[in-house]
Amino acid sequence: MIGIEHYLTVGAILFVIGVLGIFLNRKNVIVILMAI
Amino acid sequence: MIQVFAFYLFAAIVVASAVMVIMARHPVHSVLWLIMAFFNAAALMVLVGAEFLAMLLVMVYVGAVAGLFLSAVMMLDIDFAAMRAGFIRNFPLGLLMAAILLAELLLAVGVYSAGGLTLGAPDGSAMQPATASNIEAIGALLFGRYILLFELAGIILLVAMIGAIVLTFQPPKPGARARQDVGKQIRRRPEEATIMKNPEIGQGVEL
Repeated sequence: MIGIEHYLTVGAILFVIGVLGIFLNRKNVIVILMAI
Repeated sequence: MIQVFAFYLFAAIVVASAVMVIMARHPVHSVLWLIMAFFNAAALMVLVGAEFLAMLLVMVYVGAVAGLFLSAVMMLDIDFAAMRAGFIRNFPLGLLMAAILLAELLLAVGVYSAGGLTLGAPDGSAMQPATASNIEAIGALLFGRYILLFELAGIILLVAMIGAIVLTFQPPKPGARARQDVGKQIRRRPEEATIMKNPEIGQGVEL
């Protein structure tokens, strides 16, 4: 069954992708911030 | 079983969309992938039973924020070559930071499921019973249990707003044309500002 851990894991992956996006991009930071 | 399948489907799509948001070559494509990610995140919220949040996500983020970004990105003239240069240079460092952060977050998930925090409980015991409606449950938590944190967030936003106004305020120049004179505005009376007319039919009006 899907527990809170699964949701938290997906959220963590999304957050990390957002942080990675901030590091990678310069101009597009606003969009990346919203992605978080 | 179908819930598990749906969860993994939506989660995979939302993660893939998020990757595409940061990897897309064109900012407009990024925004479109962002909308895709928002829709799938909303589907995840529906799956867990938070219809109100899902509706809010679609209406506020997809409708307003993503639309705003789309129009802003289309208006701006962005130098894509300069963006690519930064991409290559920062890639190893960014990947390292992201890996460290992911490890930390996964560790935090493990700790969170091991024991309760003071603010909320991992088993959701702070939640309203499932009989109450979604909006009611959010309101009860936001304005009951977490009222202090909620008000604190509001005060922080207020301070930020006042700070932004103070920082960007420019005193009016002496010769400025559109300058507000409060005393003159208050002295103005209806008699000197408006005229009552009763025009004849078919005669036109005198301007």
